[in-house]
Amino acid sequence: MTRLGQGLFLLVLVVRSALGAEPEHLGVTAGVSRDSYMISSTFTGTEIVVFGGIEAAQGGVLASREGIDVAVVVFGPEQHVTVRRKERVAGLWINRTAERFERMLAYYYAAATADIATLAPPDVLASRGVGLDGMLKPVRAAAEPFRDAIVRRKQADLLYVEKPGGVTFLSSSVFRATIPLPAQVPVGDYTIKVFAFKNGQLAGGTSVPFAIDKEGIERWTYELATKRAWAYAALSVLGALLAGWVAYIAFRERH
Amino acid sequence: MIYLPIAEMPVSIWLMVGLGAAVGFLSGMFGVGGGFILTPFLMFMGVPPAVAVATQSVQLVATSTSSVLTHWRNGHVDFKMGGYLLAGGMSGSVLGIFIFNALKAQGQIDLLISLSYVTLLTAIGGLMLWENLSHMFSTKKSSAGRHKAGSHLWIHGLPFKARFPVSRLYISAIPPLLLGFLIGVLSAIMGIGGGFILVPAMIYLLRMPAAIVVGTSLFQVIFVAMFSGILHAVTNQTVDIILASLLTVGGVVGAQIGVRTGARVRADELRLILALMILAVGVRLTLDLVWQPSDPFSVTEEPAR
Repeated sequence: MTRLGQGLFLLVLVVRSALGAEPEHLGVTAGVSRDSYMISSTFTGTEIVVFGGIEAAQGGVLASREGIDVAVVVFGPEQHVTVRRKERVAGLWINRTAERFERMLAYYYAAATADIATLAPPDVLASRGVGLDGMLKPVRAAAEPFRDAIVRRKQADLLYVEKPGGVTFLSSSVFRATIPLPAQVPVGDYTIKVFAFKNGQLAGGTSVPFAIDKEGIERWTYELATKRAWAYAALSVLGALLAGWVAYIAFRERH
Repeated sequence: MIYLPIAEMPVSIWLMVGLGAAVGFLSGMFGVGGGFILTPFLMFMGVPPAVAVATQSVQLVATSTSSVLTHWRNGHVDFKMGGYLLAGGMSGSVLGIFIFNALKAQGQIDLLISLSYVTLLTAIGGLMLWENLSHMFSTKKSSAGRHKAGSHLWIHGLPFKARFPVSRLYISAIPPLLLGFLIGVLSAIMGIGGGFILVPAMIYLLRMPAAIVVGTSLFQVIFVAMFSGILHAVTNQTVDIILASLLTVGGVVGAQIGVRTGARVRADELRLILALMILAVGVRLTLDLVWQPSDPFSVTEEPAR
């Protein structure tokens, strides 16, 4: 944060407390069932569990859960996406226009104890990327249908998910959320952010890193393909030639 | 289920082996690559298009090798003819890549590719079907009516004559070279193996015996597929070796069965089935062009690194 930004932030705090509108600060702690997930050859999707607790700002026990809501938001790795649209030209449907979107999230999951729109004002949700509407950056009008096409597809593949009621309180201060990672989940670095809201205002938050990577033969193959492309190409083609020859020999001797 | 390291998704092992077998069977029987079935099917399963195309060329190396060896043992591969076609094809694909890049810069490549591919397939399939049917009805039982010895085409007037003993031909070297060249250009522009065009052209233009055509076509497919497989693996890193292995296991076995089935089917029946297949693909692609797509948007993703 710049010095000016810090100044402004303090100013806002001072003004807010003076007006008595300062939201109650809450301490938020969170942890995941595992901090990394390794994809092996039998991977068909999994889920991770996020646990956390809410406490009063000074670390004391929370007096009441009244008015408190919790959101658990998972930000996946970024990707560049190109969308092409077929249009009718002389009676034929062909790709005509394209839009490219840089740095879109490959995976996004937002769960909360309530409807996401009811947690806080839209600008607050947007600034923290809580909820699909808040996470998606505005684009120019012409690009909107293209961006919507990406979101539709991601939602169908369960890679963009919004789940009201996906966070549940286990006791007055301990909550839990189960995050599904579908079969096509992208490999990379993830950030899990937990936000606490009180009476429609952001009252605290924390974040936990999380990684999905490949292991075993998956990892070995991927590394070879990307780092030693020539060796990988030779291996693929020679393997194919060998397989063709083996099948020929096997069938020749049988008949 | 097994997780694919490059496509980054799990697939059913047996489904992929079975799919490979089906495509291998067609390849061994007709001498065509089978990409027209494999690529759309893999994409339907959720495999990224770039991975589907690249991986399929590796599988094609395996199935073609398996078939060619068997055809060779039966004396059904004309290596000399295959060499001429290949030489023409390699130079043609170099020109094709230039044309492709020039058209891409113009931005009209999709329309041109779709139109020329569809026109070509429908025309070839239609002509083959018409020729087959008219032949069936006109000569009924006597099958000696076709390809009479001494029937002269313009091809026979060209210079640089060469002997192709396996195909029992004594023709100019220009048509095979030119044919290979044209297929090379088309393959590079359209990203197809060219078997669909090459096989009919060898039967009807070069008048090679149908039995020799399949093995000879697949002989040159091995090299084209090898070239494109290496190119994809090195430049785009889109070859999924696990997926290729699954498809190959089914493919090489399917190819063996295909070669044996093809040897038992009569030559004119083989041509008729091939004609119907080419026509079906042509019609399907035409419908894709003409019918309003259910989703006009297509999405390509690349990791931001």
